[in-house]
Amino acid sequence: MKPINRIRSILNFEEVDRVPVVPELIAVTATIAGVSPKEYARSGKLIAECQINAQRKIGHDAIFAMADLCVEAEALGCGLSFPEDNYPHVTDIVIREFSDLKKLTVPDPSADGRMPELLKAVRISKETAGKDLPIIAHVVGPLTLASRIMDIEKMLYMIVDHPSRFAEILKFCQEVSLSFALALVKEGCDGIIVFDPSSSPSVLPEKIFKEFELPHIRNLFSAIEKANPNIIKWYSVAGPIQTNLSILNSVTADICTVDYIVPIETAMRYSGSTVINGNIKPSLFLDGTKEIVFEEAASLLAKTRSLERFILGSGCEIPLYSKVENISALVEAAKKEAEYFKDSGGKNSWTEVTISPHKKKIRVPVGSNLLDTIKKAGVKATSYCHKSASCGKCVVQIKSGNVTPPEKIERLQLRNHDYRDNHRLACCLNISEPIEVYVPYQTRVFKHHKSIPAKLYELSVKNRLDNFGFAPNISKERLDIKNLPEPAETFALKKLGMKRVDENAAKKLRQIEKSGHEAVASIIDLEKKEIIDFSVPDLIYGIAIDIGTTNVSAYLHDLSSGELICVGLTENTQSPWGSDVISRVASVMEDSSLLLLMQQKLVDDINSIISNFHNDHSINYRQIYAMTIVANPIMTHFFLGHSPESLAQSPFIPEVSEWQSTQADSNEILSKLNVNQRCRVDVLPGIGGFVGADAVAGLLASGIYENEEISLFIDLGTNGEIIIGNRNRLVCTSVSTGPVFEGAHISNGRTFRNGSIHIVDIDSDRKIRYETIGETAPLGICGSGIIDSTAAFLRHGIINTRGHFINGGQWPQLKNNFFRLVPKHETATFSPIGITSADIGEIQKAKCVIRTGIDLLTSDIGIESGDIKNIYISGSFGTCINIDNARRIGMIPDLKNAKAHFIKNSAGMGARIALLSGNAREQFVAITSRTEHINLANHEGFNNKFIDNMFFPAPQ
Amino acid sequence: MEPLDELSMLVQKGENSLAVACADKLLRGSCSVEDIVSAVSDGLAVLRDKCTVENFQLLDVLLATRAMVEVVDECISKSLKDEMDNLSNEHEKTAKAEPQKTLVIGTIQGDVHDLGKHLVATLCRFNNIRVINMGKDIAVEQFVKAAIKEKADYVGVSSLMTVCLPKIKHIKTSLELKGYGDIKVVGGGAAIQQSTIETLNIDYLAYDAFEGLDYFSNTNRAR
Repeated sequence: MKPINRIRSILNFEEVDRVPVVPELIAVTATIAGVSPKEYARSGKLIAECQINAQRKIGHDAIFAMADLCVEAEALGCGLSFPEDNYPHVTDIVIREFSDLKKLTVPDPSADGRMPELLKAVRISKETAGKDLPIIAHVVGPLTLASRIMDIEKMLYMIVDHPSRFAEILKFCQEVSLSFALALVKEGCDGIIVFDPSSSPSVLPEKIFKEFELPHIRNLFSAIEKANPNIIKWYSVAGPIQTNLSILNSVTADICTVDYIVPIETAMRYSGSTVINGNIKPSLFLDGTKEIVFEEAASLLAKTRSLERFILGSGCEIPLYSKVENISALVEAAKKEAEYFKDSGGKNSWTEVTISPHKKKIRVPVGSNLLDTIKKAGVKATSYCHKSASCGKCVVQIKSGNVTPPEKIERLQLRNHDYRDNHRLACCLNISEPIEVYVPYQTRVFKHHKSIPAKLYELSVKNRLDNFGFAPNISKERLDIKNLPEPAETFALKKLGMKRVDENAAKKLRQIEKSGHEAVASIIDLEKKEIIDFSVPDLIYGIAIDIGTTNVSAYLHDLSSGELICVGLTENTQSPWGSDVISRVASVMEDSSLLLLMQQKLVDDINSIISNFHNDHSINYRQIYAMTIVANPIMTHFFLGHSPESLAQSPFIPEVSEWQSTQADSNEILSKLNVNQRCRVDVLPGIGGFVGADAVAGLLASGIYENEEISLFIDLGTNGEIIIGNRNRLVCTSVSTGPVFEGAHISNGRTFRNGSIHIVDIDSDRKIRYETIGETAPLGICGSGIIDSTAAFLRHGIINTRGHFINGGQWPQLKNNFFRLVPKHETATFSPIGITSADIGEIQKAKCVIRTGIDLLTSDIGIESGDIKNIYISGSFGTCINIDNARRIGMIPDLKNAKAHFIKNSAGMGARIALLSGNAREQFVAITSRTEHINLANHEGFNNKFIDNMFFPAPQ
Repeated sequence: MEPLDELSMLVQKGENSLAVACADKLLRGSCSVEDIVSAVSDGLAVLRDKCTVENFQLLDVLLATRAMVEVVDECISKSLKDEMDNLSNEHEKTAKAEPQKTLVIGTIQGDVHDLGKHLVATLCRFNNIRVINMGKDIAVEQFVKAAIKEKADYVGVSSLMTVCLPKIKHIKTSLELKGYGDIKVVGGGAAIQQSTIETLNIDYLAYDAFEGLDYFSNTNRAR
């Protein structure tokens, strides 16, 4: 196989005769040929000759038309020094002051500095060896270029002190790199390698890389690809990128070089469709022996063999004066490995998989896992269970070809999901002959997460829980019931020190005893001193539920260990009766028969989550013995089947205001909950008419009631709760924001879930950047994205302080009062996603309501905004709300000295604390009785404040 | 938060101008120069605990160091000047105590990477070590001459380029030949990390700036 075919095959997921070998050989090719590095650096002809000469000696699979990292800097006018025996370096920088940038122009690759020599190097290499060898030309990454044309220390300070200036410099550097790259591509190179050592994570934090450099790298690659779709895109950044492995995927390169510090297994795991090149320690080529290099290479190949898409090389550039035999050892190792594998019958047998509807063909070794294969082919497939056949998400249809019949566990999953014979779980299949698979829509698209593995959600709840102590009310005790001297239930009561046994439980115990079991788990309610059940399986679960107006979320815990097992979310199906609580109350007031239906809907929603838990995580719902409910007062009333009528009219006195402990079977509708019939249900109380248990649970989760410092707590939902205070005093109010932050009433709005745009920014180039949850094509925009967009519009003067679109002519995205954020070809809906002027109006109202609440509350209790030291924001999109943008739109006051904390779903966290600690109840009740509620609707200042706050803050 | 804690926090976060303002205010109040120096060093100490070999954020350390330098330059040295009006020596700005140890530091010949070494020099300066910063592209004999002339306890040598490594081993040899084998040679930098103490013929290999500082602070030249 020719090197060029070998490299192309690896990139195209095709079979290769051996792992390709491409060490980063640059001026070491000069020292190999006995040429001085100084001469090499200055002559395109010598570069080509030395590179080809070295390749003939070593036999690696690609050559570099590359001199050093100073070519672009020199072309921009930097002075260089060329030592005889080393790479050149910059002696005279061109940007001393920021204003120097204006004096620079993008160099002409055909005339400036050594750029023409490098073009020549590509041309000669191509003419001499281009049929067999890929010619990889080189440019430096924009950030690395910046670090060469200015003092690197000054540059780093500039990133922090004057980011917009730095962004300008970087943008210019990208133009330089790109113009040079395009000239190299035109000259006929097969690939472009972008060296970017200054972007190393040991120099720059991930955040800065992502914010500044990453967009440029992606632009660079996409422009190169546009110029020639076949070009190989290669990114090489040195250093410990295990701290930022997303680099591997996000730079959109075909090949990424990984430094020796990064464990290869880690890199391969995160590489996606990018081919990894690496990662022998470079110094070994200089001061090691060929045996050592061979051994290191063989061990790397052993680790990567099963993963296939790998190019053997060095972790970074191979040092000058390295020994040829040490470098050759890489090629020897790759050949040996191929032979060994051939002998063992491994590599000979490849087969082909066709993936539809993508029409992708991929060759893989026999025995490859189908799910891995689909992912390798670049097709996204849903899977949550790490190939353990337990999530049932990776369903595919086998169109042709034979596969082994499913095992029992897979059949079970398929049956649960109602799939027919030719449907299979991709993760259960190993490929033995050519097959065609169809990947259905529901497998390809990440469905909005109905149930998520627990670790994604495991937050600081542990810390908070430590304050209360792990002590659930429901617990289990093992009971030996072999040869009892007395009736089993009498024995159980005595043994466990309980006061009573549930009737049904007692019956069940007798049956269990009869059937010959020697031991049984007794489920006890420690608070009520009651044995509520006996059970043979001894797992007990508890479920904490946060009922929101728009969404219902649930957290399932193992009650013996406290461990969070899974998390589920579903929409509140009461929505046809109104998107906000008031309209739902109004519906019920009009037709009182709806009250039962509202309760039924909530039970249905909870059941749908539990049945997902059952399907995805094999949770037996009969083992759920405890449930805590937090909700706003109206939802609390609905859940318990009480009429919320009294809440809707003055004086807003709730019918339910105490902590309610009941059982699932105590109510006809609640008994339909998919939990054990004796499941203990705790419904947590709220404060006053409109501050719900969800906000109190949030307080419990935030801990602000324990601190000396004054904090502001905002729970953003359809109902916004605002609480200010410290351990001495707590004051709260509730405002109706409408469901804007949940994405409702917004033309492209969506809740916070996969496919929702949650981050939006418009940079100084007027480039719109956005991020989607799950990194899929966007389906809509959620609350945080809406806040971000509005703030960006204000920053760029796209809307005025009244929220009207202005400057229409300057923004092509803005037409007919619709600002397009994402063009239709980038979305999953095939129509553009953006914000309308009506949407802005909705946001304006919502932010105004919240701000007015904060302002009135602070002035009522006589504190100034400067006294607030902490801000806690919570809500389903709370984790990613950009605090600066929330300030920019005036939603929260400009509190310079306050720290912002985000609590994702603080209500859920509070519910979990209440579930896992019986001690939380006391604290909870204490908070509710201590917190003073202020009803803003009666406030005289309300209207004036409201009008003031309708405006967006003017630009600073 | 205690005002001094706030100062450490500001240094740790690299908030240079806020840190200077804070230190200035504290000095006008009841705080002594020693209090400020110790608060500033605390800030850096917190940062060092966060840094590991796998996760060393140059930028964070750089920003914190800058904040520290500015606090010292703009507040402490001014205040000391007011007090005694006789301290102008660059190396003695940090504290009243006479530095006990001397470090000669530079980047090896052929290498022009200056930043990491500069950082080490600054850190040492603020930990009461007299630092002779030779700069970059320094030949072996320059290191040796300077070390002898300045009665150095340590020679710090940095390199980011593998190709320059072979020169490093001559530093110790040359010192030994001239009868100064007790001066400890310490290496650091991305290229040096790939090698070993034995290959480089050095006394210590520091994986980051703080490790180097620890070594300088906790060992003594065997006289």
